[in-house]
Amino acid sequence: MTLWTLTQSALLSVNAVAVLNERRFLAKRGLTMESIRDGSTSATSARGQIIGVINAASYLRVPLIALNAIVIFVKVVFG
Amino acid sequence: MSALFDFKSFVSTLALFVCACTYVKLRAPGLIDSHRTGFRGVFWKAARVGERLSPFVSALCAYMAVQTLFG
Repeated sequence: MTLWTLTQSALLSVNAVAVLNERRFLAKRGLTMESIRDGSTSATSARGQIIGVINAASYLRVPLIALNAIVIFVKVVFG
Repeated sequence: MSALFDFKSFVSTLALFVCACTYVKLRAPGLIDSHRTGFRGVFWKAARVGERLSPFVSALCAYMAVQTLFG
């Protein structure tokens, strides 16, 4: 295991959470912040914590565009 | 060598590409939606896959993360 594989693995993990679509996937399962705001899910429950993590990851989308582009470029050019 | 010649690297690169296109489309839809055919249509197709099949793309990303680290 190198720092490079660790970086790729971390990037893929963050992408796995951030790519989930609110409107098409999460809203149908009640996994958006809306269900915490209207009181149907407690923010401190396990489900509420998961909603919080997904919501936090969605703020990482813009930096992830650049990070994905860099990693794709390095992988395609240098292997 | 290029990641395109190693299947594992290719799949994880593809997953990252789909994710990146999806994020660009969520941020600036006009940039992706204006070109649906030809070479730039590839980005639109990737973005469409990323938003419609997000649970599967997410599963692929998670699987490739484990494969990259331990496989």
